[in-house]
Amino acid sequence: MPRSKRLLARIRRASDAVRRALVVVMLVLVYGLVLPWFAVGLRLRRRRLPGFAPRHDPSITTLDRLRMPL
Amino acid sequence: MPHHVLGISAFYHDAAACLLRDGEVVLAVEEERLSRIKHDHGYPERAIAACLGAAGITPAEVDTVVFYEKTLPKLERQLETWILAFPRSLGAFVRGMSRYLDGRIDMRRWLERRGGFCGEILFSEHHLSHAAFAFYSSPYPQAAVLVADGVGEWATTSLWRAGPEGLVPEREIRFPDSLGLFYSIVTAHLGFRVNEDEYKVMGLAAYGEDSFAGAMAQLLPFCGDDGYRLERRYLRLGGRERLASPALDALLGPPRAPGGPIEARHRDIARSAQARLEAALLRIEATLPPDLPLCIAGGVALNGAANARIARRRPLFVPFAPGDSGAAIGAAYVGHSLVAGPGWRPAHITPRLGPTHSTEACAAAARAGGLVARPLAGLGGDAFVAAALAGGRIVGWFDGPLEFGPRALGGRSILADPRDAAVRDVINARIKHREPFRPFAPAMLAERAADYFEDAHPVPWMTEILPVRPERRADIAAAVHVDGTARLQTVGPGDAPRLHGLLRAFEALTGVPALINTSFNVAGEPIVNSPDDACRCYRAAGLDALVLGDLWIGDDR
Repeated sequence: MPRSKRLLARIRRASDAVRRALVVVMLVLVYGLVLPWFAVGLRLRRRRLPGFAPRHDPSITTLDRLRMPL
Repeated sequence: MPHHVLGISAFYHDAAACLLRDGEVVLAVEEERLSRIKHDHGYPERAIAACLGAAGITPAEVDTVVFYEKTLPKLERQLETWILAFPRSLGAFVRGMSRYLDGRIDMRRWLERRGGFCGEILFSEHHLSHAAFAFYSSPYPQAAVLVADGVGEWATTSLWRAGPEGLVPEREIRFPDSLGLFYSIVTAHLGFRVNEDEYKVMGLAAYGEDSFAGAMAQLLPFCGDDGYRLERRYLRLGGRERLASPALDALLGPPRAPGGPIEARHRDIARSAQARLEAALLRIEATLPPDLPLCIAGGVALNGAANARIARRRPLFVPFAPGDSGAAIGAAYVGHSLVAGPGWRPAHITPRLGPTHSTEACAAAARAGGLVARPLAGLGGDAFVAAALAGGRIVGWFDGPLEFGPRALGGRSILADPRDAAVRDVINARIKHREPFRPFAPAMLAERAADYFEDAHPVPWMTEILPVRPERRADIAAAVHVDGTARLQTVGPGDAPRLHGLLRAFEALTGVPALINTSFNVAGEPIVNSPDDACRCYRAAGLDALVLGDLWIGDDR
């Protein structure tokens, strides 16, 4: 079995506490390695104008739109 | 075949569920009333079970489930907030993302597994859920709808056009520019709890002067004809610490410690924040076509003082649960409107949507609590209760279906004689253990409200704070706030029939057609739901007596 699959199998068998700890470690790594780049990008982004922005969205209550979690 | 739609709000605050059968509510209940965890923000498992049990159906028989918001845009907004707060948002990021990684990132599958639902699963937008609840429960065939809260997915303030064709959004303001967040920042600065104690700021405002108007204009500057923004240098979002930056201390003075003494500065801050909020809402209202009715929802619509000012300018409707719990009902309405088609409106609107309990259940609860319960009929019925109230007793009142929403409206209430101002202090200190500045609300016969209140009109759900006529303030002294206003509940025969009868009996004895009506709970607990809850609270609160359905608990005085 490939190494990655063995690793995933071990994680699935591990206790809840171990799995939670692994999630936390993974999230901390993502936070430290990935988020800084997005932070720079967002700070360079042009700010939205304050106040009301128009929004015309007559399809908001259609079945297709409501099916989407987006 | 009946068509069942289940609306769910969950995972922020005030989780709730609402089940419709062919467009009418079978049951709707907030999770906190069943879990006994105030503002329960989990998955409303108990509430859903109660709804399905009331309908006699299984989760698999629910045709449509409608979740009250879109999960992925909400995650996008949270991610952006955490990213912009880098690096101090590490803790919030790990906690927040851990919750999503338990499966909620795919909410459809999560609901199918956790809830056992097999039918259609839909996702309303947060503000659409609020707008739907407000409009569909209003009496207006056409209206504007204003939704204002802390934040949904991204929108914090939105305006909608509503009519037979349904709901169409017209414009919105996005996070972090937010009236709800503005008020919450002030709430936190005054040492109160965010998303719980904003109404304390509203109550405190009546004691202050508007001496911080300039500061509020810096914190929440207006723009254009109807817009506003939150000045970023006062914000500190994305972490676990306070919402505001240290710059706010320079603007308003140091924050008040929770439980610390309330000074004149704090009262003035509350007053100025309230004035600024009202001004922001009135600027929006002023841009609407004249005479077009307005429905308002979202957490900001809990501000009864602001609602009353808007109501003087145009017909206004505020639903009985404008906060996030009401969004569960709105989500269900959104789901049903797909089936019902254009022009649909629910036939019955009432806040009495929760569980009822039989006389046998009440008697059993009293026995289990070691309380002696006697049939009221043998003591003289509700006329006996009126006499007890007129004699100065503070009475728990448990009658009929549980209310939905933050107000006790005659189903789960603590009632008292409003004539003596000292009653307010007694209830605050002895029973509710609340801050002394907190006012109590009067329930009054609807047909007599104009004698006591200026601008009197039907307000059956305590959604507005109205001025009491000066010559009548002494008659209901315990219900009149320091600024001469009160959060009125008008009670018509159709609103709460038994409470209406009790008010008439009280008026016959005393000449006053009103009672203090406060929620049946003690501090830190949700409003009671079951007879067992009521018996426990009766003991814990030290009430003089308890009306438990048709039973009386207390002595015969």
